[in-house]
Amino acid sequence: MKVRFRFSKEGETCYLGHLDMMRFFQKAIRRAHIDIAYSQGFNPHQILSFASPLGLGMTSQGEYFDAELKSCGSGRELLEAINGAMTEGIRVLGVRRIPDEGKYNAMATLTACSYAVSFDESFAAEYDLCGMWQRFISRDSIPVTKKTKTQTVETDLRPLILDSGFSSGRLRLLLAAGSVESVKAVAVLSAFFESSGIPLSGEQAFKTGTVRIERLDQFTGDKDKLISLGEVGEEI
Amino acid sequence: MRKLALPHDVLMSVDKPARYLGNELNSVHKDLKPGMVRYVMCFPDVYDVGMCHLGLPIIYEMLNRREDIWCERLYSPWPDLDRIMRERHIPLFALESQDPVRDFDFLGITLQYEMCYTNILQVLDLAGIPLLAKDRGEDDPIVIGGGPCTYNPEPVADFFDMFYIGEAETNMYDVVDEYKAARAKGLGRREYLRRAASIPGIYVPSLYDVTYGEDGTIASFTPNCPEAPAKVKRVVEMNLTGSYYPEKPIVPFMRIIQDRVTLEIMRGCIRGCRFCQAGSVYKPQREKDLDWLMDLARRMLDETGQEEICLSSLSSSDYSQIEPLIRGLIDECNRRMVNISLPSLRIDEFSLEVMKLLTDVRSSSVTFAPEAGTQRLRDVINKGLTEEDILDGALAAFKAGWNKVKFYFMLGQPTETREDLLGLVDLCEKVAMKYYDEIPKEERQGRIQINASSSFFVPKPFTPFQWATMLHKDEYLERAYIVKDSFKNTRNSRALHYQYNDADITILEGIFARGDRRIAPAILAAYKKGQIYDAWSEYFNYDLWMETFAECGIDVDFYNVRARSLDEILPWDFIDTGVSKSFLRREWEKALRGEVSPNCREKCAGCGARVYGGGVCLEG
Ligand code: SF4
Repeated sequence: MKVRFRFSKEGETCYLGHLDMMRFFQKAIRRAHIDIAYSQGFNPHQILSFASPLGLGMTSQGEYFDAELKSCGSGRELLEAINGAMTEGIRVLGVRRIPDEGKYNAMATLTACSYAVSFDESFAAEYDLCGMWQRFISRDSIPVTKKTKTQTVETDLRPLILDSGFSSGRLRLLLAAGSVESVKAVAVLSAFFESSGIPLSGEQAFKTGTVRIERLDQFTGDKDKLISLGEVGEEI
Repeated sequence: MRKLALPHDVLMSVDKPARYLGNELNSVHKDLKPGMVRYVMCFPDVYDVGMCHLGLPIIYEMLNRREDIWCERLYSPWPDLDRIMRERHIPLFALESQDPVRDFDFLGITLQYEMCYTNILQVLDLAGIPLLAKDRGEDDPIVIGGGPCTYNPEPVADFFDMFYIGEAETNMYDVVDEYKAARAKGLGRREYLRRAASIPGIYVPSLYDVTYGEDGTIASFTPNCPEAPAKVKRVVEMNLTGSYYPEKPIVPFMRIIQDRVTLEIMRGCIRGCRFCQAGSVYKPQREKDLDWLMDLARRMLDETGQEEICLSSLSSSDYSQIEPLIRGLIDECNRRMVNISLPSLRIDEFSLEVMKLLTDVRSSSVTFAPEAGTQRLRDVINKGLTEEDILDGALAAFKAGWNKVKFYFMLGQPTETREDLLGLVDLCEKVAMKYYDEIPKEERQGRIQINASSSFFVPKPFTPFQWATMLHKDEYLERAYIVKDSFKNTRNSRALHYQYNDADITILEGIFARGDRRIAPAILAAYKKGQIYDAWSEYFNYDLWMETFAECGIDVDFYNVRARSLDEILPWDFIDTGVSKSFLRREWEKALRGEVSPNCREKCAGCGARVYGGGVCLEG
């Protein structure tokens, strides 16, 4: 049976990369004695698949992986077992059984991600970020040029920002994600800073700690009917 | 959230920030209490390498079992972080607490290979500790060295307050307790070092004076205070079963060179290979109890969730319970879907049978380490592996389905001639022929593949070859070319591959391995020129080293190619490893005559290690 795990990644675990997290959970599953299925062959590996990688330096409340289990007790027991094998900063928040078919795969069905962006105090004091954001987001289109090795392409970011809002100094973003059309939070920040006359790229601001980004959740479904990846399937 | 020593922007700009977090599963975090002794154990290489080493976790486990000690870890910052720390004056910190190293009571540095010597200085410098022991004050940590390189600590003696010679299990607590006692009495650093000098295994370099004769050799080496013994005795743990062992090994987040649990099954070796330092300085061979090992294996796998377990010893096939141990592990690990890695197993019927169970025959290879190409030279080095052993082993492997063979050789060993070099190629070719002659065409799994590699021999202290002369760099390379050319001209040249390790490092290792205190200024000077990470070919700089030796007035040939007389005072003679100098001399003379010596189980060769009163010496 296929089980989806939702976990959070907080504090200094934000400096662990995607592959590190995969390895961490592979070992945690062994420590927790969870009855996971293995692939065939001389180097059998656990049947596990992770949703969209989280950028290094970001924390998250909504990370996911799907595991093929041979058996398990109740959802509560499973949750307790895996959380007994966690380390500070990483917690499993929920487990749900999901349909077996490949089309429910966490990575393949992803359509959107939500983020919370917080700003360094002195930076926030310098600018009217909330007002600037209102002006930025009320534009009909936000053209940006992306340079690849061979060409520069023009794209419009506006339709990729599905929703946004400022509250208590934090910017919430709902951004298109997945394989069809997607945009990164830092790219949105870059465009925002540029159009607001703030001389900083999103990448710089993120790397220097001027902004901190937390992923809140990941979603599947159509833009107007998004469902959290953690709500797919049923309780165990 | 714990405070981190490195700010966010630094962690975001260095490669693999996980190296510097110190929050891995099973790492030990304590609340600081007044009077607690703070110890930081350093492996002076990058985290990815240092975390694979077993010695440091044993000390970590041992010290952390005591409530009044907190032992933390430290690895060398990679050059990217090194640069930032210097620019921004960020002091070097211990991983667990993230507190500056300079605030600690002890900085222990394990010396596993000579090429880490400049990294010792990097660590001291970044920590803000004076590089020379004589310049340190009451606020600086006591810098203590350990590990295999302490069997000649002289080239780095100026950088250390003391060395611990031998196995930590025996007297490490005494080192700390003496410190606590000295602190309680309000005694200073120098007073503590004098007291520590009388703990068995402790060598305090500043308490010894060295004079040199006109020919440059050591004229005298004498203690300058009553607490310092004339001979420092290597301390050995005779009861390894039930002794300190990392039962909850730390689980790194990031990928390290070998990410697995290690099960040390014994220490020491029954064999007497004359080039091998480990075989000599870890005598006698001492085994751990089978049931204890099985229990440890289970606990370590439970606590870590690792997917591989590796047996560690100098020669696993000589562990007397090797069959039941491996069969027991296979049962245990099959249930858990855990891999077993078995390095240093001799190729025989049993090992082939288990390797067949554990590895994919088609992609793996069987390995032989004859070290020398002819029986004559193998007798000189006392490597008890005959051509017949190799051919029989290879044939058995071919029959079991293998067609890849690896060979390890050493070039430049004492008495080596052109014949020995050609003999090496001959041996590889015979193995290839064996495949074609004995395995019927229809049973062959494709073409045979033989990969031979060689390194150049470096004479090490406390081996019979400690008196051997080395060669010049071009002479080493010439020997490698002879082998290479000869491989090209074999009938099976397409199936035979040969590669040799660089000779540059050999020259450096030679000077560090048998150098004396006069080498230290050159290490310091090379470091000041920016040299670190010499063990990494991308950072090693041979020309810079040679230039530095010349500037410091050091004659490389004096240390490497000069013939030492048997009665010369060697820089490491003040250490008593239990293996007597007269035994080493006897072995050296036998080597030159091409005579072999038995291994400890065949017949005791009287090396002297019997004084430790246990292990293989008292078997049967
Ligand atoms: S005393 Fe004899 S048995 Fe013991 S280690 Fe030495 S040679 Fe081996």
